[in-house]
Amino acid sequence: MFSYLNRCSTEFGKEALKSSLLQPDVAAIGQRQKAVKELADKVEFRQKLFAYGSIHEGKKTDLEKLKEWIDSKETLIHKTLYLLLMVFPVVTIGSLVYYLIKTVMQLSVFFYSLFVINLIIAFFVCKRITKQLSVSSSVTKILQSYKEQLQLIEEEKFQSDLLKRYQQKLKDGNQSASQLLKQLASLFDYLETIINLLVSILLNGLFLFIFIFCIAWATGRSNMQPKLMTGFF
Amino acid sequence: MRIYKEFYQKFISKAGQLKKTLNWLSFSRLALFVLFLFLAYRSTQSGSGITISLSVVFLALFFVVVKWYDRLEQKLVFYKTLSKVNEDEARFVETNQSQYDEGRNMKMYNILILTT
Repeated sequence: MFSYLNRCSTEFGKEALKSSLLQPDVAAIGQRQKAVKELADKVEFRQKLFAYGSIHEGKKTDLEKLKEWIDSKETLIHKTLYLLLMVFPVVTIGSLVYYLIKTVMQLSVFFYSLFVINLIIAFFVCKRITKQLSVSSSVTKILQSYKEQLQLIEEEKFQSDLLKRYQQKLKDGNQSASQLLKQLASLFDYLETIINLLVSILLNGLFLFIFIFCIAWATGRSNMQPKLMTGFF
Repeated sequence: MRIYKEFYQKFISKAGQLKKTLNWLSFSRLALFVLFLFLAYRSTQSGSGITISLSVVFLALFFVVVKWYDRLEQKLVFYKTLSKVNEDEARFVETNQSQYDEGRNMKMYNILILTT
């Protein structure tokens, strides 16, 4: 029976199907039947939903790591320290611009010194966030496919009350669930940029990019915590 | 059954069209990079402002095309997956052979023991 019903593309979906078969919510059977009847006609919608999920089949451990990350309260950097350290990139860029205008030799030495100082600071922060980096490997692609799936659901027009209720749940709040996932995916995308050594040296030397990332990382996570936890994990 | 075959044809043809576009983009990507290298080399020789600016423009265009290519490639994978889904569904209807997870790893063994 499971193989006839199962068109779930995620482990969470399969678990949900299993529990709804083993412990069905009897009171909601009527509503579910209406929802199934409506979805039966929406072949293309169902197939697209399944296809997005099947492209990057996430391992359960990756998603559990992601859930742990969203749950954790650990902050990588304090906001005051961040603002203090932001003086370095401002001065670095300022000295570079001034050097390009005036071409004073001493300024280039000052710029290179600041560039190296920025790299040293970034190196110490990188050591702290190595643990967080382990989350990212395949998560970006999984999050992107989840985002596509949710966007598909948000844009579809439904008639049945149950489907409308599920859809509304995704749209509640300032941002829709797909928008939140898009932000989360781009955060992990930035993380992959940091891993790229050449880009990392350039971005950290000039802007202390790692700090900007840490703040975006923490803000993004705190924005997503309530919705992601109640919504789809 | 008919709907799955129709969808299969539809997504296969969309994937074919995309593949043609991707081939063109792949060629443009290579051409832009070669042009950038050539102009960058010329600018180091001549030091001309126009050649430097042109090489930067070609590098920027190269990155735009790379991004565009990646996006279309993802779309191609999506269409290929959709055609595979329809192929599997048609086979399931025809032969009753399921390509999907049958949930064997989800069996509740405590229930099985009680019933056997």
